[in-house]
Amino acid sequence: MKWPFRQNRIPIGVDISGRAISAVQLARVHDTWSTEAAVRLPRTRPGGPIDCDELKRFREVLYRQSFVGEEVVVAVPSNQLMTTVLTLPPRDSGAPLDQIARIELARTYEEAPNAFELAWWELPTTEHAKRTAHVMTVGYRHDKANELCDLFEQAGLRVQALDSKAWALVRAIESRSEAPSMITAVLDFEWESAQLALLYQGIVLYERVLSSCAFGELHAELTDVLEDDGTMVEYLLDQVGLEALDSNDDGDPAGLVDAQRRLAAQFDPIVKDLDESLGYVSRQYPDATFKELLLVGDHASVPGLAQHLSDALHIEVNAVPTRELVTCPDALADTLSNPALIPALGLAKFDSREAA
Amino acid sequence: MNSVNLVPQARRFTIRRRIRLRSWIIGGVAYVAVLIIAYTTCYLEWQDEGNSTQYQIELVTEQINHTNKAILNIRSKLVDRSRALHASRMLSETPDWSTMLRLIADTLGDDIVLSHCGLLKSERSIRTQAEGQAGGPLLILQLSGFAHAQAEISQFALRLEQTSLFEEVNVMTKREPFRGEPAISFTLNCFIATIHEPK
Repeated sequence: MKWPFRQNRIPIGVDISGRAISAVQLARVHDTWSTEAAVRLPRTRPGGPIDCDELKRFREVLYRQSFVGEEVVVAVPSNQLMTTVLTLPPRDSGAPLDQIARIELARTYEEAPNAFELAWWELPTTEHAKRTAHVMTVGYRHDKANELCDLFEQAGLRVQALDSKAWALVRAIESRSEAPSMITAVLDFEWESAQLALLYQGIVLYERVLSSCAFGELHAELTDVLEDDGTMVEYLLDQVGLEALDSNDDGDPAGLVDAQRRLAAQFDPIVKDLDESLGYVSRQYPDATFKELLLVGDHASVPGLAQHLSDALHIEVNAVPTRELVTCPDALADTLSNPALIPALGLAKFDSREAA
Repeated sequence: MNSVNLVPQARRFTIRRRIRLRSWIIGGVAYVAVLIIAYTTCYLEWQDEGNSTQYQIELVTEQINHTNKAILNIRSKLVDRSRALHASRMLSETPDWSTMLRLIADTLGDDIVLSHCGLLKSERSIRTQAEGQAGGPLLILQLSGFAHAQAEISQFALRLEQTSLFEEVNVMTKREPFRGEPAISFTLNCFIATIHEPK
């Protein structure tokens, strides 16, 4: 029996990608998270900007799927998030670190210092830079933030927080973080780009947008190649992936093989970017060992993708189903088998008391 | 920390203010509702209690009136009873002089003729009361009459004394003819034993 006034549910985590809108709502019972509701709603116009009508439709779906409440925690779109790593005076120097970080980020992105909301956190101190503080800063322009919040409010939802997706991933995979001295890389495949986040000692160590991997462009390209309305492309991405490349290369009237080759070629720049990023972090933190690369997001479950990247990078690559990271009822097991809900899961774990 | 919140501070402040205002409104409305319910309940309760007290006052007033009427009735009866009691007491404390007269007649004999019989209040009793001694008024039964001889008068006085009804019998005699014959007239002052006043 569910009491209507039961208040142990927390705000709904909402992740808007180019392909779908994902939402997860959790309940906390005796310090244990359990999934109360989850949904993944395909976008009406893939890759297009979110609008009020689509959010209203999403709101109705939430109601039908037994979500409770109007408060949501939304991830800031990766392409609008301002991030940079700064070297600042140590905290005990008395320097106004907040103001310095704000001015440095404004200078980097050529914005007015008071035109964006700022958050920053200190990174683990490296051996060669003990006299300085390495901080990671993130910012989000006020006009963009207000525009996004207004859209949700017009749809009947209230944005409690706009969080960085990298921090949402930290919270989502905290149950897999066994050893704090190990670095976990998370690659989130979005519509317009891929975002790489490196997590170490429970914080976001490194965050980078890999614009070389744009599934939106790939989707349009494959639609042209396959001369299809998108159905074949969806089938290629969700069912065929990279696994059939070696076995079906002796002719394909539908052009599927050519499409698969293009798909595989899409990941070549990513391998190069990943290799550079992992090398940089290894040099910065030589004591830390690399654990694995987790694939999340819209296209993390492309068949054969994890093996393809693992072969190229020579590291362990996994696409973890969301249900492995949180307790869920059987009714939601199918929905939570998709790794694309992992960011929404992390957003649902948002705790305003822990926010920077 | 494990998260960041990039909602603009001004917007967060507005949301917090809106939530606080809504909480105050809800709380205020709830408080007013509770007050109204409480006042209504108390008003109804006290109104019933007022009616009940008024009814009890009327009941007690009626009882008082009944009691007053009963007291008046009893008081008139008490007056009647008091009069009857007083009359009864008056009657019961009055000596039965016929008994004395019958006793005198029994002790009179054939030789004595009584011409006068009366009661006097003794001066001795007045003196006794003046001296503060206890005792009731001393009455004197005064008997006057005639006899043939002095001895007959003395015998009569002796018999009177033997009745124990009198404390003392004084005899005063003188010669006086009775119906043309020589006789001795006498006057006996018989001091009657003390009669105590009824309390």
